[in-house]
This record gives sequence, C-alpha cells and structure tokens, in this order.
Amino acid sequence: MTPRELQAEILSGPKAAECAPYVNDGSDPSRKATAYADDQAIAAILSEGRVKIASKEIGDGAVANALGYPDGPVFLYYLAQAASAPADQTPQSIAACAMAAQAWRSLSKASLDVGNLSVRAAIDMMVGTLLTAEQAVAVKALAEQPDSVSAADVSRAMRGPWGDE
Amino acid sequence: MAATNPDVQVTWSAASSVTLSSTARVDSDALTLNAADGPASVQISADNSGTPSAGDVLNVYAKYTNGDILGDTGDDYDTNKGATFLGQLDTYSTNGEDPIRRTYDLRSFGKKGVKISVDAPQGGVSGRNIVVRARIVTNRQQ
Repeated sequence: MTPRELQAEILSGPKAAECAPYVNDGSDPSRKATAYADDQAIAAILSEGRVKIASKEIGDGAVANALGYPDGPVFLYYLAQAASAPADQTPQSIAACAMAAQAWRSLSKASLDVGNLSVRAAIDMMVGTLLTAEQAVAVKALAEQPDSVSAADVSRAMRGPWGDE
Repeated sequence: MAATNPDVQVTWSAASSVTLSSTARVDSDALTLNAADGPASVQISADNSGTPSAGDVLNVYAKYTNGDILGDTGDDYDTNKGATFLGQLDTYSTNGEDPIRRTYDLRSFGKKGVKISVDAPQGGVSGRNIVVRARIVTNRQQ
C-alpha cells in the first residue's frame, strides 16, 4: 500500500470518522507537538482487525483443525465423496466434481493455497453444499495475517513524502 | 599544565545556522584546528521547521583535512563519501524528538582542520526544512 493509498483510507475509508480527530497533515503548527501521538492513534484504529491475504499452502489436517471436530473430518469425508464421481453428466456436475477432486488432491499433498484468489473463490462456491458460510470463512482465514499500520506509515501518508512529489 | 575549553560556533557561509531545504549535502565553513588542541567534540542541533514525519532525519559527518594534499591551492578536505559519519539525528518521535541536539566526539587531534557536513534525505519535503546549528569545543593545553 502506497502512502497515497493509506492517506485515502484515512481520509475517506470506512474508519475515516474515527480517524478524523487525529488527522495531522502539518497545516496547523499548534499541533506539531502532538504529531506522533496523533499518528499512533490513527495507526491503532486502522490496525484493529486489519489483515492481509498471503500465500498459504495447507493440508487436510489444517482444514480439520480450522473447522474443529467432528465438523472438519466430516467436511473432508464429503469432499472426498464429491471428488469420486459426478452425480450426473451435466457440465455443472462434472465441474463440481472436478473442483472437489482438485481440492482433495491438493489437500492430500498439503498444497492447497488458500491465499490464492481462485482457490478462495472455489471455497466460497462450496458454501451451501459442503461448507457453511462460517466454515468457508474459517478455512480462508488460514491465509490471513495481521497487517498492522505503524505511526511512521501514517506520518508519511499524512505529511509525506508520498513518493510522487 | 593548565587547559582551556575554547568553544566556537560553526558557521555556514558566515551564518550561525543553515537551513536544509533540499536533499543536498552542505558543508560548514572550514575550522582550522589549533596545534595545542586535544580532544574535541561537536554539538549538533536539528530543528524541523514543519510537523515531522518518519524519515525526517539529519545525517552528520566530519570532513577533516591535513592540508594541501593535492599540492594545488588551499587545504583539501575529505570528500562526501570519504567523510567520517558521526551519526543521525531523527526529528520524528518514533526514534527522536524535535528539536533534537546531540554531541559527538571529534577525532580532530593531529589534524589540520575540519568541516561539519550535513544532509537531510527528506529536506524540503512538504516544506519541512531542517535548521542546523553546530558548536565545537576543544580541549586546549596552555
């Protein structure tokens, strides 16, 4: 994320109202002494619950642990069943079977990348058949990492340098 | 043997301070060292004219000379990359303060002269200039 992108998030993002009292763009000399505290406050607001998606290859054990017992093993059981043969020969059924088979093979080799956007979309497509919405979130969360914002990041976003001067 | 601690304000084109409004390296006026000078130190003051941001730092160097090494005219001081790095002053509160002052030892003993050399990697960004002052004290044997 560039300083300009962070600046836009601070000024007009979902937490803009929370950040507003602490925005210190350097235009008010009387707030020079509070600059670092202001930057820290915004950093704390933005960092809460902030995550980024990273590449993360997982196996069936990680899925079982993420969904808990017996839900995890039950999901894996039905995934294996869905991967064995399509219910019929319609393109949709074949696609669903092929997708389940691919997921099963990758899980068996501990190489299902739940940070990959296509894989995450495929997990969402299993909602309603193999997974609940909450379970899909839990599996996808395995690829999420804390993405904290520092006071230094905020200072550059609000007062530069932005790298585009 | 008695000793004194003469102190002298470092000047920049005869001014007592220099304002860094760009990233350019700036050298002080030359200070000729006294033959009786022993240990010396330089105190640096850096004042950010704006509201500091991360990376608003001042790099401080010493450029020594042993005289006219090139044999042309005048003393030849250390070059920019050959200068001795004394330290970095940070005006942003993560690691520093604004204004910030710090004293460094100068290894000036046995040398003919010195210039204080400074640069601000973010000097002038968003109008934030770094105002620099320096003062040198030597321990002189009488």
